Amino acid sequence: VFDLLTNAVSNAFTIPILLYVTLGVLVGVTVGAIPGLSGDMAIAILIPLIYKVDPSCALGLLIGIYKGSMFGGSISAISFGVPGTAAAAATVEDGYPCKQKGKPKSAMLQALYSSVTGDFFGTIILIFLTIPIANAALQFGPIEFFALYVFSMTLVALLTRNNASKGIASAAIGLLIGAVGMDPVTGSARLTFGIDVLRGGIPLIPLLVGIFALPELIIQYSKEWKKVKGKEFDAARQNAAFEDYDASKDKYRLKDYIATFKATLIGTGVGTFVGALPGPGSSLAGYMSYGLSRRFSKTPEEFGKGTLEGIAGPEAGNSATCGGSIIPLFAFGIPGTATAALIGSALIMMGINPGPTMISENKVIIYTFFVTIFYATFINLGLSKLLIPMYARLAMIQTRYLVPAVFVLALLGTYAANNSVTDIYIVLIACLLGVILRKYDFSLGSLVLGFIIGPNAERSLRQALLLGHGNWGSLFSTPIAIGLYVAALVFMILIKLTFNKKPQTAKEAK
Amino acid sequence: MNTFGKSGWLTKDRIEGSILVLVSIFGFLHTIFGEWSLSTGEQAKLFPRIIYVLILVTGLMLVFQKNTEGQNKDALPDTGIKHTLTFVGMGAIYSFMVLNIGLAVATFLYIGVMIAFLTVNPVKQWKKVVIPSFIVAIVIWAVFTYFMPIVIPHQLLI
Repeated sequence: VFDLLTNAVSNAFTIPILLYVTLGVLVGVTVGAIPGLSGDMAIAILIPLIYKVDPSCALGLLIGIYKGSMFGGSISAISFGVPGTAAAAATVEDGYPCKQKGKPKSAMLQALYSSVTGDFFGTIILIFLTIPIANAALQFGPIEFFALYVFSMTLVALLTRNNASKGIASAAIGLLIGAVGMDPVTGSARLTFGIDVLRGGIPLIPLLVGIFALPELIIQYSKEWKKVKGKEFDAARQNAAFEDYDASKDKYRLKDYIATFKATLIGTGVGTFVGALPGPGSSLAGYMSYGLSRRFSKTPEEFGKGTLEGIAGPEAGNSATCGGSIIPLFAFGIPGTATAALIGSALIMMGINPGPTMISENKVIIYTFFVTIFYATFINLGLSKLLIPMYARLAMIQTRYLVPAVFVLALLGTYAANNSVTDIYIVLIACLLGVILRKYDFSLGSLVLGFIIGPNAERSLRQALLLGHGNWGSLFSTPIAIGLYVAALVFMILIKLTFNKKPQTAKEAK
Repeated sequence: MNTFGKSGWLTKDRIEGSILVLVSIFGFLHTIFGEWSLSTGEQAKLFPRIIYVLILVTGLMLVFQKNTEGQNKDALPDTGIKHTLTFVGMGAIYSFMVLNIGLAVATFLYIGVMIAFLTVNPVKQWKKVVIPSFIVAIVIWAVFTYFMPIVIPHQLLI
């Protein structure tokens, strides 16, 4: 073990990996700071371009983007009241009022320090929990794995905001798309509807780019189109947002960090736990952390008026999901958030299959990743602190330049992965599907989760049935499997009771 | 948000649910009566059937559940079919141009047109359209020609 750790540390601190992590953090904070761009989109666009890169470097880049984008989202949330990413939506509640009170720098530093603290503890928990959980998962057979997939899908459905039916439907659509092509057990073609190119299945990269990146670009494009046609565009007003900014009058001290540490810890706990559950994602973690920080605050009446506690809770919460969401990905092959699903896809592209055997089969790469994910937190801290004023101005890049350039990168990147024109058609069709599903409130994260775990879920089910000689009762024949089904049932009842307890106010519901 | 009236039975949820029900019934029937490869055994159809049943159940849940329209702030009320089709159509035209005319010229034309769409008085502000398009096209062309070369057949220009 000592040799392995030494090897991992020496690998992780090589110049290329350090550069990739730094680049990842820069890209992550940048895309996070620009409303309309997100870490998910950047990762989806970069996957086709980096799968030939050394796995440790590629993972360093992706984790840098993941961490950077979590903090980056708070920059425009605080500067303009527009969250750069969905994860930073709760930060707007107090971040923007804090800026309006003349403390933009304090607000951003609070967001940064809480974000880094949440991320740090989330990472520690990831490092110490993943290996024991993965070792326990090695005892799982197909019966237990199928129960685990059912448990995950149930959570996805229950924790999808507002509408469990649409959560299950999205996951089922993902499962269906994943089932197109070769049957994983016998290898025979199915669901191809006579189209030969579908015999190999729907390729991962075009689907991810089409589902995640392009619909977001279309939203930004539509909004801008309406502004231009409605003559609402007012760049001068946006520029004026920075005229009153005077960083020297706005100090953030250690005592502020200590005073908000309770909220940061609440966010960290909530974020790590929520991140490890498949489905809910960093946005829900942010809102839950905000709500709990307010409930346990000595001054709950200050929330919504620009209190630093109201920034600390959600920022620690959304960043702590980074580590948490990777635990089930590494231990069971089930990603906790959409971003973790994308990282899982990148691993698959690089020939590394997420799951309990992944760590033992790729010890050096995974231990190097653990070291990398740890120091990426500090690179995020250093770079972001240095560049906060510059990042804030990034949010002002005009959509009309950004959207076409990012679209071209996404399309050419997808084509570059296989030099396949079919992939371009798939990306455009997936884009239409993504727009329709988002427009009608279906969760895209659930769809991708279904797509990724679908083939493994089917394999487990078929193997379990083979072991039980076709008897469906064999799916309930082991204590672990029964425990997982019972846990799914208990979660279902608990969540139903929690959400039906009392009617929420509009603000709480949000 | 509600195209069909808040008090009417025909809500958006119910229409979406009905579509899911129809798709699942079609899919399930396809697993029974559809044309499948001779090598495809009954076992290969098991999982798709389970998925179709799942979709059917969620569709029925949507049809019979309480109306949830307008609750999710992430839904896309701003995105019209015109914008979506323009965007995707332009993407298809761009792909065709890249494959037939050339990467640099196609990228310049595509970005120029897209910027022009989002510019008030693009003719008057032609510099703000042409110069960024030119710079982005050159950068993209250099990246995908020298740093991450892509294979493009039949290029008429560059």
